[in-house]
Amino acid sequence: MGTTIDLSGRLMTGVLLAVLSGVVGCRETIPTSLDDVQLPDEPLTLEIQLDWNQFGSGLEVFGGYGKPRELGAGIIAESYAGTLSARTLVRFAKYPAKASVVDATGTTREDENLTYVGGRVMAWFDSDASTNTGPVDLVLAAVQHEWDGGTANWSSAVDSVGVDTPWPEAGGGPVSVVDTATWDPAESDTVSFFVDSAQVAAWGDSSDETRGARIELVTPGERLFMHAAFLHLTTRSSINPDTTLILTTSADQATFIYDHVSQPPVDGFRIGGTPSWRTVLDLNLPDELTGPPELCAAAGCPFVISPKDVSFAGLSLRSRTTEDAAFQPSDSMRFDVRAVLSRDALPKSPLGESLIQGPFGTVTPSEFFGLQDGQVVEIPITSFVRDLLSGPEPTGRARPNTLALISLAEPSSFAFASFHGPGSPMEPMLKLILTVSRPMELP
Amino acid sequence: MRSYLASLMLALALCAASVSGQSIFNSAGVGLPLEALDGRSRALGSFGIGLPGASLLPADPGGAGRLLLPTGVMSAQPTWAEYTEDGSGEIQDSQGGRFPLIGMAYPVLGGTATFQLTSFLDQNFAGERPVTVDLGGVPVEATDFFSQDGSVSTILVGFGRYILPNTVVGLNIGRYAGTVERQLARSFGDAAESGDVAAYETRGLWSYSGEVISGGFSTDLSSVIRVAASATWSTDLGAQAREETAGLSRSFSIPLQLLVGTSVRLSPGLTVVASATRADWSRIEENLISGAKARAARGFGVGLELSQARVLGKEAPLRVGYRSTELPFTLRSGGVNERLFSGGLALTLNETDGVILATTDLAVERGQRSGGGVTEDFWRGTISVRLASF
Repeated sequence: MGTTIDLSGRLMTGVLLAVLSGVVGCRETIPTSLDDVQLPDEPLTLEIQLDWNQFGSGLEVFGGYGKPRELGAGIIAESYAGTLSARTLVRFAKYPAKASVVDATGTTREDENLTYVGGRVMAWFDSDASTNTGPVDLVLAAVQHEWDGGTANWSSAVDSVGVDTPWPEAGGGPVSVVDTATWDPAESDTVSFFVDSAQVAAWGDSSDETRGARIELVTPGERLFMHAAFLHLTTRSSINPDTTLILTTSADQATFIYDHVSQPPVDGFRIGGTPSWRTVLDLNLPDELTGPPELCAAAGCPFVISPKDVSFAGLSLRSRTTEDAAFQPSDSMRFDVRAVLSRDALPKSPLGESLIQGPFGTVTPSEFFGLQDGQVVEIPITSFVRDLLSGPEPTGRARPNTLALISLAEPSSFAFASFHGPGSPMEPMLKLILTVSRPMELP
Repeated sequence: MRSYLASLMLALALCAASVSGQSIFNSAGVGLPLEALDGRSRALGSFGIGLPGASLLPADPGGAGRLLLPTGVMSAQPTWAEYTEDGSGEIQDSQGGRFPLIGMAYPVLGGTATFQLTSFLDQNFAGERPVTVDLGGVPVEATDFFSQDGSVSTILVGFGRYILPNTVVGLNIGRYAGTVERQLARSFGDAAESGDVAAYETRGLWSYSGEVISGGFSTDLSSVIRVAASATWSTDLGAQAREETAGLSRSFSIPLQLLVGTSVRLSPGLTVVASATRADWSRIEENLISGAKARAARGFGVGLELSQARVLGKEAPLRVGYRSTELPFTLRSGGVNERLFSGGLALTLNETDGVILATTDLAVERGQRSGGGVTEDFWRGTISVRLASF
């Protein structure tokens, strides 16, 4: 029978466990060099610019994306730039059927027997996006012909598949004038039109497909941007006839119709508008670079660009004064850029996700497309270029090399932006910021 | 008992999974040499050769021939270090764990066959470099982040046996193994917040290879004196670039390493040990494109073991030691020296019929490395477990 020592004492076990916890639970902190002597040579970050013929081809402009009603705003113009007339059509929603009224005893009750005795149409304008700086005269009229808010245009009241019903008078006519008003942006951003009880009653008949208000501009040479229109109803209560209520209804359908449809540009880029324009182009990056000298000194030439080398890639466009002045931006423009997933399916190709980080797109002042012709607008496409350089997708399919420049939402503005195209002294460039170094070596 | 051992093994395995750099001097040359030692050797300030009793250490191939039972040994080593540039008040720190030794021995063919996994070089370190870059005509504050994550290990098989009643010899042969990954990334700071500016990153990955052979003897000159010596020779340490690595494959000259050690029993229960090492690393300079300098590295250590000490009523040998070593690579210029004091004890976990079957050796070292204008103070713990016929 041998002797056995077995350390089961609590104290000794506790000491050992404490040591173990130190071993296992120790925080890992890697030693950090006190200087950069032990570090590899510093990489070089430099910018290079590629001319259009070094990277671009296949420039095309497509139009027709989106409808006026999807803009969510009204456009009103009269002989703007000598060519553009636009009118906004509004069909108000069903009137409120009841309202809370305080009766003679002071009790609040639901009144379901309301009488609409008149009203006012309030139009809310965007003074920044409108071209006028002084007062302009406006007319509110009642539409007399059936129309469709989703498809109406200058010449047709209904323009859907298989149905084309022209207006008796181009431009949404005929109409009966309801009221006139003057909007002075220096005083207010709203304008009010009086509506009599008969017109209120007519617009309250939801079965009437002709019902609708047309707002047009009398003062020539301006273009207005209208956020919204509301109908404030002057209402008499059956519970307390001495009480006059103001109830509000908003637009059920709203659109604008305009005359003078712009034609695609013969050269250059066009982005935005309603319906929207898109510009697509193909990117064909050079297989290798043979300069500039500092690149060759840092990484050797010919230099084959790899995805990791691209710190930034941006399309460097030069703004152009809008060739069709009627559509010149009067407010800042927001651009987006996306990959065209199927070049052959254009103009209906699906697009990839936005290549621009953040929700606001590339914001560009409207002046760039007016007096400040030739301003540089940089549209980042870093991730697209890195993907393109990384070769085929894991499935073996070639990565798309076509880009679509579009407005942030389609449509997001009535005006469109223009940029100089290939062949111009201000043709597009591809700006690349590369970070390069010699291959990583052991010490 | 069994649950304690199970938790110990689990703890060691977990520590092995989380290895990190142990010294700023990892960044010098091809790294900081690591000795594969157990807690006993560490506590005695020894290089692991010429110690009393039987041992399973790569530095002492002959020592394994004294093992009479199947034996396993495992060692874990946490380190806490603080370092500073001389004259600077700024102190930085690092922490990390290593798993420097796993060994097994099995008596066979009249001797003892061994298998060992050991650490050889520690290469982990990181660095930062602030830079100003021109980003499209705009100066931007950027930062280069560098990290090197790697180590060199050896896989050894060996055999030791008595050739005389008082003398054992041993031979280990094996290969280098391990990888190192070097990564450099440039972050463009605030400019990258938009998401349109992408960070730059380049990296390289190498696998280590090479052959190593060591031989040694251990002899008892008398009942109180033991001497031992060993020599380790290897081919060049090859670093093969992996397919995706643009950097070149390289090789590094590894020097012959000589070790001698002795132990003298001054009285029953009191033993003094001493050991020394030498390896001339200067030839590796030709292989270093970084311009790092290398030199012949020497070291010696002495220690004292009180083998009959008792702690809490249990037998627990106490050990103290001192060691001085020259490190082979310079950090900037000038040699780097390491000096340390050590202490520790052993706990017998299982003894049956007078045979110790399980022990834990604990060591704590307090040391300093200095050279090249950098001083590093460190605490290093070593905990090892040796199991026999378990």
